[in-house]
Amino acid sequence: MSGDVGLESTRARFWVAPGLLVLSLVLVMSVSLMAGPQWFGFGKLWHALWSPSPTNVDDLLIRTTRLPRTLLAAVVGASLGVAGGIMQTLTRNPLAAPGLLGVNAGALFVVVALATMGGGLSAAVANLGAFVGAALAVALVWSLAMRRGPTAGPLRLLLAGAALTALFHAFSQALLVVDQQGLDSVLFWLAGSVAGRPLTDTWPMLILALVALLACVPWLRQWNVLAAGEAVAVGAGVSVRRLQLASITLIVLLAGASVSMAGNIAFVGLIVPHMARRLSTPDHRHWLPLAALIGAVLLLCADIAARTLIPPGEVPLGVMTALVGAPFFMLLVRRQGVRHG
Amino acid sequence: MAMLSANDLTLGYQRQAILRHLSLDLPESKISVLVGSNGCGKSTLLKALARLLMPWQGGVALDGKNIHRQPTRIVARTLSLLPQHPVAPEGITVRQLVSLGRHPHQSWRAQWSEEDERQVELALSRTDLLGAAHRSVDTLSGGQRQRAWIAMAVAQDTPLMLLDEPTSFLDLAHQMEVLELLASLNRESSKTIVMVLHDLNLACRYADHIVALRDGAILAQGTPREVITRERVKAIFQLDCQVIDDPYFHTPLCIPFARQKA
Repeated sequence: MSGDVGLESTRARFWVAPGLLVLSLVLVMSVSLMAGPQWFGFGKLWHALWSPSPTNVDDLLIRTTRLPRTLLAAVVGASLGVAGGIMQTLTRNPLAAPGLLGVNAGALFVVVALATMGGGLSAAVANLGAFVGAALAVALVWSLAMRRGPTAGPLRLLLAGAALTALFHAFSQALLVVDQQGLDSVLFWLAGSVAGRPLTDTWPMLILALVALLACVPWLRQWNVLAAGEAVAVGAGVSVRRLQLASITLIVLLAGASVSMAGNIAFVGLIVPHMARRLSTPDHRHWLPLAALIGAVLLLCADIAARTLIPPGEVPLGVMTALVGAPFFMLLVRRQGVRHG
Repeated sequence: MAMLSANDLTLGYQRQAILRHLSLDLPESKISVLVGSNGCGKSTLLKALARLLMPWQGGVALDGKNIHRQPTRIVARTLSLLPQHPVAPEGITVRQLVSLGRHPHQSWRAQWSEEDERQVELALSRTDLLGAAHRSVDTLSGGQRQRAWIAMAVAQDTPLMLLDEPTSFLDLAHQMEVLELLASLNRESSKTIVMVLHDLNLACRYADHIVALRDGAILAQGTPREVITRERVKAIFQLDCQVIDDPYFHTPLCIPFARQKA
């Protein structure tokens, strides 16, 4: 860090990580389209993407199941990575993740409530319900954290989030115990998955997530100042309350859309920002875009592994990310211990 | 112009008022130091002056206008703040930290300008950090780190600087270093400096104007010679002492005896 590197080579190095990541994103997306119970070669893939014939079964398979799945994994991964990054800056806590605001617990609760109310749970209703649940939970957490003082202190935010998460999970469990049949229809949310979600169901949330990703751009510089602390940010002319509100809204949009489309996917929001900062500078304009790229690549890799490890079955995606994420997380904790000790 | 004043200021935390009906005009282009015992409200007053706290009653005026009614970004072009014990983001370099001070001067259209670059260079050289500009703030010594934070405020290029205990946790040499730096900023750029200090003797040496607080009210204010007397120190700190003339700087020098039994 402290070494005096010539400007030229610093600048060249600066583009290495983003360049490699864009390349790997393209690569992993292609593999994601090719991999599965049935493997397709690159020629087939090219054909299916650019000159599909309506009668070709392979073309159809790639376009209607693999493509939506790939897009979904990429967008959800990017959204969770960025939402986690914003969350860590907002709370000044490297262990924070969107789930700590109650996003997942709120989404799950509404889905469970809808499922146990009887009647078939259509994908569209469940999607919307999950998103509303996520937004509702975060709104509650926010209003609890704002009760004292003009801004929501990081600690109050995390405490309120933890309390609400526990409460919502308790409600969900109670409902599921009463009505065990509901469990089947919500298992998907519990384990997390990007499989079997046609674009006709997911497109509104996909667009929402993409718009939210773009909407982060105007706030990047203010996050840089906020990272130095609330008082410093006020001193430097940041309207902290407005920035907090914007950050929370963006987290709801990104993480809420993700959980509504793909269910409970653990660890991506937590570890991706750390990887991004390690590969970049503490400047949000540099590392937050990297977090989007890394999140997308990571979730695509996890999904490819999930569907190829135990053919013809699938490992739930949420389990995959936890399998990769937990060891990485422990490594992170150990490293931090060494650095500060 | 950069006139900062408090008018009938009442505020506190939760339901407990810390400051009560406090009015204060801070002299322009001077160094003002707030002194008082722990819990007397001096840090609270500084935070209120920096618009970190909302007044319950009365208000803070910057150039005659209510500070809370002005856009915070506009205020930040006149007034900079160094809070108590700031923590730098992990891995940030000195130059990146100092650059954050340029935030109020930037906008969507005017991103990083030549003026921004010039001010950051200037701040780094004033604080003698040009050599350390590429280093990570985590790796700096306590004195250097505090200079880096002051450099951020200097880069903000404001006529008014507020600092909350800028010398705490520094050894004597580094305390002097920080205070000399602030004195030179006041002398050479005629910045108005308002700070909270614990060391009464250093306060006497560097302050043009001392504001002594007790129980959320102003007990006395004026030049060090006017304010720091044996009786006053007794009233401010409940401390018995002898005040003599500093043989070197000819400012009041306080020699504490023992704490008075109340």
